[in-house]
Amino acid sequence: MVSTVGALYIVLTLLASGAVTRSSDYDAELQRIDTQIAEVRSGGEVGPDGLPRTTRLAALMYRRASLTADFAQLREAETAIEDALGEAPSAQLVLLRANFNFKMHRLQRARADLASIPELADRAAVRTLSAQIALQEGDYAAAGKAYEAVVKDVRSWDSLASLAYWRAHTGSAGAADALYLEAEDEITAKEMRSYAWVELQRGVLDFDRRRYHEALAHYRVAEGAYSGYWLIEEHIAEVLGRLGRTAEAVEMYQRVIERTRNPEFVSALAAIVARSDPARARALYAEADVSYEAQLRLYPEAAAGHLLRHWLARPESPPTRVLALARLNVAARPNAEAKLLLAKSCWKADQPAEARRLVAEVMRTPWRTPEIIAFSDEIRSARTAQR
Amino acid sequence: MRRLALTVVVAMLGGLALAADHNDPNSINSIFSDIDVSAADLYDMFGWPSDDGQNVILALTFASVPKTGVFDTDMLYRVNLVPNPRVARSAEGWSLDDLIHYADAVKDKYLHLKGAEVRVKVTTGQQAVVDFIDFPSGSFSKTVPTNRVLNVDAPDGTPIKVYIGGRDDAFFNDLPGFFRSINYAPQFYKVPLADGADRELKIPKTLLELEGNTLFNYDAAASEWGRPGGFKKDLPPGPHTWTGNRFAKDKDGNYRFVYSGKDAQAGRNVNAVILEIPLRFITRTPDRDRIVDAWGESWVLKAAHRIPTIPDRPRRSFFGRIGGFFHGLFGGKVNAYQAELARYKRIDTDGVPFADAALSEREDDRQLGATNIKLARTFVRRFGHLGWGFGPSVSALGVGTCFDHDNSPVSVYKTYALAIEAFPRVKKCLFQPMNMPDDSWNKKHLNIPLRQPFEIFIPNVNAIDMDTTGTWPFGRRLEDQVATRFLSVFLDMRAGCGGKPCNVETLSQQSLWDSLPISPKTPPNPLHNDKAFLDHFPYLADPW
Repeated sequence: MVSTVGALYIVLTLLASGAVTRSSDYDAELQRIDTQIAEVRSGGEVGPDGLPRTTRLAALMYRRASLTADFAQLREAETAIEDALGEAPSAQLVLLRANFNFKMHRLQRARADLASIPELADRAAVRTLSAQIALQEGDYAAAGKAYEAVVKDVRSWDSLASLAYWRAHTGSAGAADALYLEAEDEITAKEMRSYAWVELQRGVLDFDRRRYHEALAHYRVAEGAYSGYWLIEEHIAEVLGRLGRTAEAVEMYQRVIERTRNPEFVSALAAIVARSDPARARALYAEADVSYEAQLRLYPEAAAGHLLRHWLARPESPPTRVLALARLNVAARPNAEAKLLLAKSCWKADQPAEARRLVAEVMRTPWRTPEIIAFSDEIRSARTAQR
Repeated sequence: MRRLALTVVVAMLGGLALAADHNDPNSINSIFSDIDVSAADLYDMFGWPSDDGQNVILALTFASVPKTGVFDTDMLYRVNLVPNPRVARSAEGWSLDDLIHYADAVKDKYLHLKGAEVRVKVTTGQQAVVDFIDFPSGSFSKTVPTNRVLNVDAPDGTPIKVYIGGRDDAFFNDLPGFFRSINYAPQFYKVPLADGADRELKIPKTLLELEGNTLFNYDAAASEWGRPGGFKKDLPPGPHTWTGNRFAKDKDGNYRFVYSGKDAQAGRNVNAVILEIPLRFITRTPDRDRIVDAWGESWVLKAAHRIPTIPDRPRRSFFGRIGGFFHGLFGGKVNAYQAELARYKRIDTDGVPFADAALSEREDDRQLGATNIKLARTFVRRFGHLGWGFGPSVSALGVGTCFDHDNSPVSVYKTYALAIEAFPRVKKCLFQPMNMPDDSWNKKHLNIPLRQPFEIFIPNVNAIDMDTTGTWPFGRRLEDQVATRFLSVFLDMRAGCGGKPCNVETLSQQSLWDSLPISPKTPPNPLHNDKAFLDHFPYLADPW
């Protein structure tokens, strides 16, 4: 028999333990989208906003898949977009598809989509997407010019953030942070995820400059703005690893992996535990291999770069296959980062001359990341050592 | 500003799904981001004098989001008040330059003048924090329950009536008819509300259907097309223009009216900030300041102020800290209100009814409230564009128009790159005094000049004349049918009505429509609200 005091203790303990837990912002948003999808599916052919059901469904499924970055969901979203275009084509739907194609690194298709909707050419959204395509194609001058032109006309948070990213990687980190700050000032409390994203970018700026404590502070602010988002949590895990807070990093990665099973994070966790628990690392790498192959089958252009990094981080990786994938990646996105990965692949495949040629090509562009600088230094040091 | 309910906005969409491998600010948003009716969406700024002329009654209405009588706690609403003496302006012989100079002078006044403000925020407990800021006797704040009529005493004892809550929407209007008159696609077609091309199609504005304009003409087989609760069609492939050359007529020889006279706003609710403030509280010289300019604003909390952030300001120098010390000593409470406002972002403004829908084309960057002065040239060009549409349709009915359309037999689609090109066509409209139907508005029979459109629309405020009943354009009373009165701006006030003067109520007269070759024979908009207004504060009817 439980005494009254004992019962009260049990109740208080249950409450304190979070038996009633609050949903995170991320989970709440997914839930809202799921509810909307269910409503659209069970509703009429035309919604209260006048849009056809297929169009609404495509938009919602795209939004959900973008949030989760789940490749299977992205494929479902693509199918929904094509269905909607088949039933009720519109310029807006084509723009949605253009964005989807860009997201999946299918740059030529994205360009073709934009070219087919000239009536929207003046829209800030279209102009910015064009700039982003140019950037991914390695035309940095055109991209920068285009970003600046959009900001001149429309100082919205997203146009400012786009320009900030370009500045951050073309040698103006200070200017980039100022632009991100200005972007944040344009975001209202109704757009906390957007605010969190910009704050995350500010953290990445610090991370790239090895200011890990500052980066973590920004990531925590982002987490406070929009809780439960794997994208923020994996950045937190990464910087915790850099700060030597390994146990916390492992725990965070495990949480993210539990919810996303994203092979990138599985691979990152494997790298962290490799020294202390090689067997576990091997199992994790194997899991990541399987997931990456599945992604590659679905969207090879989108998966290539991430799979490449996964292989390049491991001592044992099939050099022929790595090279082939790296070339595919450059073909899809002929930009500095893709060429850097090809250079690393050549270096790993004992093709130093080709690696050096590619690095020289990358260094002639204005694009700079810590990875580019580090690898350029590495191969220069190796050449010096050889002499 | 009155907006469509349930609009769909095209938002920019970036391209990142994967773990931040490149820049994608809007990675999650969709082209079709459903922006439900927002609590920032202002509807109307009513304002008129009390019957005894001692108090100013103000009602700022806005979207009832999250629901009627429940307020969004991220919002901040402002009712701005600037008292002025009445100024009699003669615009006889004004040029475009004179108009621009007038606008510049008004701009200077509003940009530098400090008026008073009533600021409202609602807490998570749904208590309204009401700040009365910069009134002549000072500033004070009260926290009050929502959805209750309250009498608040200012520190000097002045009684002020306050109501922050849900009410019936006091706007009664055939909004679909208006959108039909401007060939506004999103009302009738599955066109997301986007910036640019697919909003107002390149078809002449008109009060009468254009022969062959199948994109917008009434379809008897689809009477609910474009109406609330009705349906929208797929926009057919372009070009979306009109190549006809005359107005449509039915078998009886009547023109077809684009308006139906039906109230598309019936049964809707709003949230509102309603105040009744003695004029002597707004100005120390109420005998001199007989005009109270009022406009509303909605602001949304910035994201940065939802959560604690890393301080971004650089460390201050020694002299910076000294300056800050003195600033803190003498800056006072005024800076606290300014500091609060800096945490918010202005979203919407509301002053003159239809200034936005008709004249600003709803572009977000033109919602400047009282400081719309820089839009003077835009207004002239826009007025010219509207005039080429509405002018000929007024003339076709045998009613005189103030717009010079060279006796065009049909509405014309024409736009202007330069205000100077439009000005000769519109100047009679802009500078003609707006006749009133009788003298009831001028209850004291004072020598109050009639208002002219240029001063009605610039600045974009509700200019309440305390010596009148406050009926539009001398304010805006709840029962004013402002949409129809707006259309009267295109009538020849001097002699357009059978050789006699027209007035702001001409188009609301059933007898006029009975005499015209038109169908349906109805004033364009309903004459009364769907619910009777109250004869006491808060005046707007109880919510549905």
